[in-house]
Amino acid sequence: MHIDRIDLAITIGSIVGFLVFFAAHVAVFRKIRARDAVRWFFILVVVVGSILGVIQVWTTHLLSVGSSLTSIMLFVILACCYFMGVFGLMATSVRIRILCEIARAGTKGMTMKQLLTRYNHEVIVRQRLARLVSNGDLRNFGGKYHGRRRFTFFVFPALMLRCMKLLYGSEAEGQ
Amino acid sequence: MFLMFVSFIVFVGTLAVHILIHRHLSYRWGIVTAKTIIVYVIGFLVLAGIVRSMQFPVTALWFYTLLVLSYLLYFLSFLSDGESPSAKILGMVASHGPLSRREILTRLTNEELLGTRITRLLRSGFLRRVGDRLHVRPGGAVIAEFFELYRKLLGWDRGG
Repeated sequence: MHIDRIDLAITIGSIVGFLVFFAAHVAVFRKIRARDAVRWFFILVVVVGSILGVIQVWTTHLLSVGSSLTSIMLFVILACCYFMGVFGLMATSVRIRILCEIARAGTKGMTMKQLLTRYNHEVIVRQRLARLVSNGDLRNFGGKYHGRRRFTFFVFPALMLRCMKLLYGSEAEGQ
Repeated sequence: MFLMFVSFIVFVGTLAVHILIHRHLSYRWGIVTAKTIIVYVIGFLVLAGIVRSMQFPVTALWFYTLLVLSYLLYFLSFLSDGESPSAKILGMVASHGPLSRREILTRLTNEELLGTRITRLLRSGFLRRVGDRLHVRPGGAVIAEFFELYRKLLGWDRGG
């Protein structure tokens, strides 16, 4: 396989960019509120991506503009994978929260009733409504929640799931 | 870059094969498994064979890997969780019009949000039931420990 310096620089650049993003993300996310997470994720991706491009093209003259854009694109995909696959699971997954609650009970385990006193549909709905309102997806008016936008950050995964139901068949879901 | 296009085409081809295998197994034999994702490893090997004599093979393989990773996040979520509670709430408001919190709660019950997921955690071996008590199995404990540490690193409250 023919591997040259530019080829490695594109790939390693995206990984280094991600590591810088991760360090900045940990530092920033320790200080922000949960409802600002999506906004700050985009800000960090843009800032780190721009710095990555500047370093690769203008400071070190390592890559051409096209190669640098490729490296930035790979970094953005990697950051999105991390945000959806790791951070998203920690912040929003019901199953991860159930596992953590039961694990916290240790060897005694936990009954369903005990679990429901700590984590139940009221908690889940309250957290989601707060998140959807702060992201501008819903508006609370007169005690009722109204839809605001046709396409939002939370609608995309739902659209993907609908596409998958069509492609894979709905029998596959939830097995 | 031409090689990125090649990676994308190989990814789309592998995806088509994956869908066909999955549909065949589920409709013909009633088997629904995540093990079908092995086809993406075969796709990787095919791509490696195609790009090995070209100019940017590592970039092409890395791009393919990231495409597969991002797709698998949705596919595994499709197999395990189904629609998220947020998507369900948005769907409800879109189809029924404005709803109060109480009206949303009557549609999203404990059984729908927690019961089904506990059943899947039991079935996939992350939890076990002894009498009326739920316990984590070693695999589930590792995942729980990882997310507890990660949560502490970010200094965040409990998720979910």
